[in-house]
Amino acid sequence: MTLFYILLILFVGGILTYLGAKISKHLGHAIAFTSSALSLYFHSILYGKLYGFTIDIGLFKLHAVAFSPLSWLIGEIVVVIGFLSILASFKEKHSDFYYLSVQFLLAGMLLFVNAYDSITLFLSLELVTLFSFFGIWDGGKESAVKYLIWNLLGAYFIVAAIAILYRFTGSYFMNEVHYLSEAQKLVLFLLLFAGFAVKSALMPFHVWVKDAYRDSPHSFTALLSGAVSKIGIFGYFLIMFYTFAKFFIGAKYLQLTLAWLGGITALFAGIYATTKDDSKELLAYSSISQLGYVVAGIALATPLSISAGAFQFVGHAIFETLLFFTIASVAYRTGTTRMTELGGLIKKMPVSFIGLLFGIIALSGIPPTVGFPGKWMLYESFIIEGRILLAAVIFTASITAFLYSFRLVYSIFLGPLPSKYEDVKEAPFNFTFPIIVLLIPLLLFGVQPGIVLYYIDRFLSIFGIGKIEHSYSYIVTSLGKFNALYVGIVFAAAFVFAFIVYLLGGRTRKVHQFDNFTAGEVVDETYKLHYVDDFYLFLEREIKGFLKLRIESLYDWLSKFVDGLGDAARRVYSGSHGDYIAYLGFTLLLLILIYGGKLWF
Amino acid sequence: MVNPILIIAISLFGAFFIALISPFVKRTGKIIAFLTIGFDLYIGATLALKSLRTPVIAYTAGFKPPFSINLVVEPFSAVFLLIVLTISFLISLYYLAHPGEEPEDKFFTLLILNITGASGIIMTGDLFNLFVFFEITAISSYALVSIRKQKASLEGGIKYLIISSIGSSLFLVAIALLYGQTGTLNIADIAAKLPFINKSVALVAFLLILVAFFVESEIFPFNGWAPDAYQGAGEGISALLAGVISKAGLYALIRLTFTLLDLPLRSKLLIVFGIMTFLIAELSALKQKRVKRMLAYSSIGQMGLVVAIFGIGTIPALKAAIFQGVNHAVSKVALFLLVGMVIKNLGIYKLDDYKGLGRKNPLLGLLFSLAILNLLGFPLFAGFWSKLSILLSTGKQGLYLLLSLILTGAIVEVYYYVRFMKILYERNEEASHLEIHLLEAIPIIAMAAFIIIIGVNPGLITPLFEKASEAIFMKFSYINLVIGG
Repeated sequence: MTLFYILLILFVGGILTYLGAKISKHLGHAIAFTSSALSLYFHSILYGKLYGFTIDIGLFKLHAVAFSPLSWLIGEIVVVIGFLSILASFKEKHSDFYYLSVQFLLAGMLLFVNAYDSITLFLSLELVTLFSFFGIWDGGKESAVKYLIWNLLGAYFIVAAIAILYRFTGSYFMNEVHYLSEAQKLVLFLLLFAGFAVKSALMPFHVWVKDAYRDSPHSFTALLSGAVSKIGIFGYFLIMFYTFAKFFIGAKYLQLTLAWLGGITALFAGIYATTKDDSKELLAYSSISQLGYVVAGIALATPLSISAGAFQFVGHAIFETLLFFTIASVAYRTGTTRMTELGGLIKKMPVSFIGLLFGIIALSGIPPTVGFPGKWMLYESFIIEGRILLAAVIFTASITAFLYSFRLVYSIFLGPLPSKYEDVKEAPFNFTFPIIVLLIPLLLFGVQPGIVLYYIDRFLSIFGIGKIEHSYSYIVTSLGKFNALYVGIVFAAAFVFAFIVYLLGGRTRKVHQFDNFTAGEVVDETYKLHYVDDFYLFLEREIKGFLKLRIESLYDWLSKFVDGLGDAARRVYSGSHGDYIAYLGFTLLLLILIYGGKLWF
Repeated sequence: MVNPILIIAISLFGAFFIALISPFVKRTGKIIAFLTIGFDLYIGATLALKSLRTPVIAYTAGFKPPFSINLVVEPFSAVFLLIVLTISFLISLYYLAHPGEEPEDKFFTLLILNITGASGIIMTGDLFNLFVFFEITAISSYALVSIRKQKASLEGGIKYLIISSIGSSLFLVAIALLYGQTGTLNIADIAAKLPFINKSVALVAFLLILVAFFVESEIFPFNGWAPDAYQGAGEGISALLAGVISKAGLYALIRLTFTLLDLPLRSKLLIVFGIMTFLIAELSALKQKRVKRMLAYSSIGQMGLVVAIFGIGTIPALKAAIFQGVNHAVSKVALFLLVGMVIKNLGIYKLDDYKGLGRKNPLLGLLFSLAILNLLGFPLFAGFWSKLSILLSTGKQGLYLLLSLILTGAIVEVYYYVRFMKILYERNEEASHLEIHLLEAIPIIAMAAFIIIIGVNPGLITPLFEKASEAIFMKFSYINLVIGG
């Protein structure tokens, strides 16, 4: 029942926060802090246990059972990021309802990852959709509406599949399905997949992400990207290796198609990310891109690729959240997320800089961070399976990650400091604490990937997928062995060596940033030393044609079409009673003509 | 024993009592209306609870049916009676603090008559009696809609009058046809004799009845009157249209097509017309600029959805349809009453004028949001369970096209309602502050509480719907009940 109490804590905590905040803001904060900390504690002690509950609400019975190791893993990601996000959000301006939304959202996500029947699954999915909508709503309403429409569309795919599944199996449980034809399984699988794809922002269902991430409150974006997107990932695991396991393992064509979808998402989103000026938009696309890797990995469905995908989503939860928190702290101090307006903050905000630096190192998949082992395993698994082209696509996507990561750190922290930010200080503890906390697993899992992999092994063995050979620090594939610890040590040694060289190097003299000249001219404030406008113009010029091909045009066209239909429908109600009488008469006549002659038994 | 005739008798007494004393004591109409409807609700609730165990039949004139008019309260009618009377009671409670339409005494007389008619439609077991109650409801509705002496009200009233009287004359023709064939007007008796009557006559009667009650339950293309009537009527009356009058029409449609003339083509027609209404109305609502008109189209759409789900005809579907009907009634009545409060205070009609109102008036915003989220079927609210039940029962019958059309319509619905919410919460320093009278707000708060309680524990109410859907599903139990014993 512990899980039930956690949910209760979050629901009651949410309501109390709302009421408490009416009395005093600090009371509300205290309650929100307590309830999220309690949920974090109680969820953490569930590690390795079997837990769950059943409640009867009359119409249905709701079952929540941690039936796969992933339930705890993603649940833990949710409560950790939830706690950190709530902590950071105290420094931002929010409506009272925001804290209620966040806590309800956490409860919804915990329920989702433990949902054992389709009713609970859909209920929790809708909870997640509704309350993440309210979270975004606090920052920008237009984007929130867009988010809601898209995610409801996804939820409706899922509920349609649930209804059809219920028709054929007569059961609400998400057990392995039997007695269905291959075609039926395929259709149901795709419906569910599409639904989860909206949540995890797989292309072509990604269009809500840019707006939602950009406009949502900064600390909430971390939660959205780090935790809410994992809902979709959990859904993939659920349908691929549980509900439709036999079907999916047998359907090679489907695996390949989805892996390619993941690969293309990784590549395209990476390219889009390089063209964005708003750092949160950039990270939004980067998040989409990184989740594309995950999909590519798990869709390929070999033990190695699944481990790679799972490792990658754990990594994504760490580094993407970290990056959003650093952006949140920069935005808290400077009030903007646009990279062209920023620069030179390295000395002013060193903790945020370190956070962002390690974040992008992990993002680009460089050891000794959590980003590397996952990507390494992913490439290996593609190559072992002979999917060279796919590996190439994913590899190209990594190159785009280098490009946009560099731009991120350069535009925000390097270069000259705009004079309006002379007085900027490091972000308060509420922001630096999450950054520091997330740096720990970022490095730890980077040099000891086994910590995560042993946990993933449990998943692999429960679902009978096979296993990979590894220890805490090394991973062995048929192509070779990789020891993360050694790699980590080498990197650290190289860094130390470089630092020594730097110390031994010649004299340095510190000068003011405008104590400088270029092309024989003295520079002043008006002269832009910082090359941030049109950063990748040369690239954009090359791919202009590609960038014009936007799936958004199709959606715009669709929405215009529906709008037109609305106009047409409105005109049906002409307002003239003569017309209405004519409608009535003609329809009656038509009915009598159609059915008049027929026998009716 | 509580006799259902009491509801009719007391209401008629109350209605004419207002007319009697109004020359002497001014402004008592709303109190008498409140007391009368409260009493009706008390009787209705007692009856409804009793009928869940043993159905209640009241005979008039000392004869047993089919020789006399009788009133039947069995689970299906009990549920509708409860909806109609509860909603009416809440509306009358609302009017205690909210100014009624002028002239007030006539207005409340009409209001009580309208509710009498609606309860009569639901309780009667006699076809011609049903026609009489139907006319009482309809005629009082025309008057209620157009009682505001404004162009829009008169226009709405006139359109309603024209279309609805065509409907009722079609109904009369159908009654005549059936009477000619069977020699009886008792619903159960005709239902029992259905296999022996001329098939073509039955078919024509069926189609006529269908069209007549499609008009009342706002089904496309017979609902041209509805947007104008909703828009022109006072807000309380719009609420009455959404929660009471259309529900009575729906009851008659279902009772007559399920029990009286149980033809196989019913299912197809209800589904086709229902879903068509749903889609067209939701699409029309998308482009509305006036709040009441938007709500009107949404109301039409919901009626279409409910009718389509009734059309599926299985017990889970019937249950889902009743549940959705209840949710729609609760939400839409709450919305119209809230709009009424806004109009009373500020006199604004356009969507854009609502800018920032919810932000400035937290209670108003909260109630608006709750009603909207319930209507859209979000979890933690009752609407979630009814919408889920609808989708599951549709899927269960393999009606995939219907399923996808419902979901399409639902997305459109979400869009325009959330857009409305967005306007409510937009930043606007000039948004006005509303004086909300507590008594006005109580009915809406009660509905909000209902929405949340049922949302958390739907099991509190679904057994009732289960019984009701079983009752309407098995027409022979109804026939046996009335003429068997």
